[in-house]
Amino acid sequence: MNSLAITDSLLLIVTFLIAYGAKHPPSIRIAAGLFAAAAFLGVLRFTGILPLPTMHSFFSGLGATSAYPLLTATFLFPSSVLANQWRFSSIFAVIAGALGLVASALEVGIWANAVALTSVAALFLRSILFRDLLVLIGSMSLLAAVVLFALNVSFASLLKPGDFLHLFMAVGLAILGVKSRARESQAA
Amino acid sequence: MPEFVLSPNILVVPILISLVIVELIISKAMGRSVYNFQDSVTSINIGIMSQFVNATGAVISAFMYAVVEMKYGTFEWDMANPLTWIFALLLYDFLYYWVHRTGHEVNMFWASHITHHSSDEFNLSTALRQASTGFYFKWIFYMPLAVLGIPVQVFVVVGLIDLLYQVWVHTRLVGRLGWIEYVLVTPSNHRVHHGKNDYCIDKNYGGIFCVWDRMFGTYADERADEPIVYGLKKKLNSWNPVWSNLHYWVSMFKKAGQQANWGDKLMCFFAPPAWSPDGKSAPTPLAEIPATDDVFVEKTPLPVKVSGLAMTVLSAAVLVFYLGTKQQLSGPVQILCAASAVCAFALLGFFWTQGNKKELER
Repeated sequence: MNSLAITDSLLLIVTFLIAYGAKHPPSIRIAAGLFAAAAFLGVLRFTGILPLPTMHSFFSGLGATSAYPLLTATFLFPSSVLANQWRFSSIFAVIAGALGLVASALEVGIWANAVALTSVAALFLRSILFRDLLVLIGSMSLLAAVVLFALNVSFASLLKPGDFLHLFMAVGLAILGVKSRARESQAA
Repeated sequence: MPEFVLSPNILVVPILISLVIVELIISKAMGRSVYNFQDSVTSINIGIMSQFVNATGAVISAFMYAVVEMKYGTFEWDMANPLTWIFALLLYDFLYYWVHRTGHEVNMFWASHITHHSSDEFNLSTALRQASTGFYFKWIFYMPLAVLGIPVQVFVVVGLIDLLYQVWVHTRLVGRLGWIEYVLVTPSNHRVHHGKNDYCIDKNYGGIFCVWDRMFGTYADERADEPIVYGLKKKLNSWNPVWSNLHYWVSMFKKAGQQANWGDKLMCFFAPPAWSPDGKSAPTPLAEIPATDDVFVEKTPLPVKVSGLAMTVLSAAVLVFYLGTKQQLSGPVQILCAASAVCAFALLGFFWTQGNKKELER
């Protein structure tokens, strides 16, 4: 078993728990579900149990172009129908995913990275503006995930670029998950 | 002069129009009146116009499908194996259910699909009344097939099978079909889909199989004690094929423009069609809709009949010629041809609508 399988398993556990958690708003659950699907396919791929590399790459792309903006929109507009109704969260996810597919078909390779980076940067700025420590740490972690992966950073032979992506995403999403759960509890 | 190439979609045009004529003859023989001349001519012309537009628009769907299938297609499928086709058809029909449901329940998609429901009649010509603007969103829903690696040829053929199956269910001449009603979409359960009675709203979205409706709670049986009233709650009152495609887009944008905040503006596009900013989101009950909002003449004058038939026959002939030669035309020329057809239909439809109005008869 390689390091990617282990770090993707960690990401899978975190995202699955968020997607499964009834106390999170629908938008967070859909975003986490998309990440979880990609992570699950990653685990299958990197453990060698059932390698489906193209499907893994498809869901990873969907995560970047659809789940990241959905996550950001949820924190920017927490009381909107987009954050709180399955219907509007899923419409947003489908449209954002479709735009990602069009970009992919037109060979606009930068789209997925640009959307992910813009989304987490917006989340980061929002956390500074509102002095929201948890979101600040969560978004910094996601920012690190996106940037380190884009820069193809690795650590000796121990951690590959994908590992940084999985680890920082897992940490960032776990923190944002705690935050959204706390907010929902307060609202209730 | 470009060479004419006969393809299956060209043969479909005269076959479908012939089926309409056969149903008309049978209905007359049965002593039933299920056709209205202007309505049927408009339905056929809307269908012809949609073929002009979709002959190019469908290329976008096929292109997107082919690219995604090539990039992300996961499995290899044996096209000689019947199971491949059966699986693809089942999955396509399942996805069609969601395309169709979204087409009814999300306003900006309803703006396209409303064209198909704008007839006050229900007969085989209604099946031809297809939107010219739906190609922009439908492809998105079929991407799971592409990711699974179903070849584009299989996708196109099962899509055609699904579409052609749905033609025969647009009839009032066939009653209930016993146990088949539990599995397949039939004329009876599709009549419910086209009804504007309260119990018919947002029901029976299936394409070939109605099991999806039963699974997701959108199934409704036809009621013997409540005759179905067909068409839109707010009548279209136009025989113009172009306006039938655009009227809802216009009213949707107008409504959005009238909203004070961005949230409500966006809701005009993504909320259900019955949404309004004051919080009411249920469709208007049928009982509250005025019964006499029809502005058209009931009996068709001879000049209207002759001009309507001439318009239809001529446009069908031009469409057949276009479909047979379009492969030799460049993309921009194809778009120009489709745009010219739309302009011609807009003009013809305008004059024909004016000629049909009651006030002009007086």
